[in-house]
Amino acid sequence: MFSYQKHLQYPVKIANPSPALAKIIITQLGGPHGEKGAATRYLSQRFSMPYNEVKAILTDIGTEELGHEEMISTIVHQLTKNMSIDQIKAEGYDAYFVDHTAGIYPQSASGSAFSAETLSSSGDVLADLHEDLAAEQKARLSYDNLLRLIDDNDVRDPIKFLREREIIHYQRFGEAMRKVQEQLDSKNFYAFNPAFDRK
Amino acid sequence: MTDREKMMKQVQMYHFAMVDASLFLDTHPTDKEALKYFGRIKEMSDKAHQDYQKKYGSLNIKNGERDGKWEWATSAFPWEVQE
Repeated sequence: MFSYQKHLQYPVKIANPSPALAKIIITQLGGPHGEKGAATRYLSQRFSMPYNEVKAILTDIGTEELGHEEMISTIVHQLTKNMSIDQIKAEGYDAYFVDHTAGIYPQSASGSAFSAETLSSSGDVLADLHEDLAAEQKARLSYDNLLRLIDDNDVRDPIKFLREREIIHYQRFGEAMRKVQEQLDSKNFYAFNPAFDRK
Repeated sequence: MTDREKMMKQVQMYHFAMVDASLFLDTHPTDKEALKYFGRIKEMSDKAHQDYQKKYGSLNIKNGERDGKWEWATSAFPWEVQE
């Protein structure tokens, strides 16, 4: 079950609208390294995970990612709430605007709609955890690239928080990987998938 | 920063500390120091939630009703900037 807490994980309060920034930040909602993909990946993978502590980490990080979807959506909402038609035209937001106005739609910075093809749920314990470690690094690098492009401190502050979380999640998935490896068959390390093969 | 923002920051800070500690505990479920830290933070988080809800409205459906009204639905949503 999931229940909603009526607060953001970290404060977002942006004074100045900027469709130009909204256009690139939306990628962390619906892009290839975004939070929707992260939540979907972990909350799907946990069902084939045989170890309780790793089910817990997938559930809890997946749940936190839902909170990060909300933060990114809030940033985009506040950046576009009071934008003018002149800003929409001058900052190249017109293509998004014509389909979504000032609404929130999960897409990448280059305009592709969110796709589950950006993630994997393989049913193989090692393959999934390697995917998760890579995913945290890809999200981290996207936040690094965003920080290279953003000057407004109101926007940088929550983005920096989200970047830090990718590093913590990477650490926790590394620990989960170690726990899994301790349980594997040393004679046939990769061919054995504890989620499927019976000894 | 308004009083509401200050109180919300307390809610967010302690809730975040709880989330962060819970992830650590998932991979270190017998770590005594982490368990103790979690217990301490949980108390502070509960208090920050109560203080905020008394003044500014529901943070979850358990506390949805206030003063004979379903305030869960009528109070502000977190993506809106409160003036």
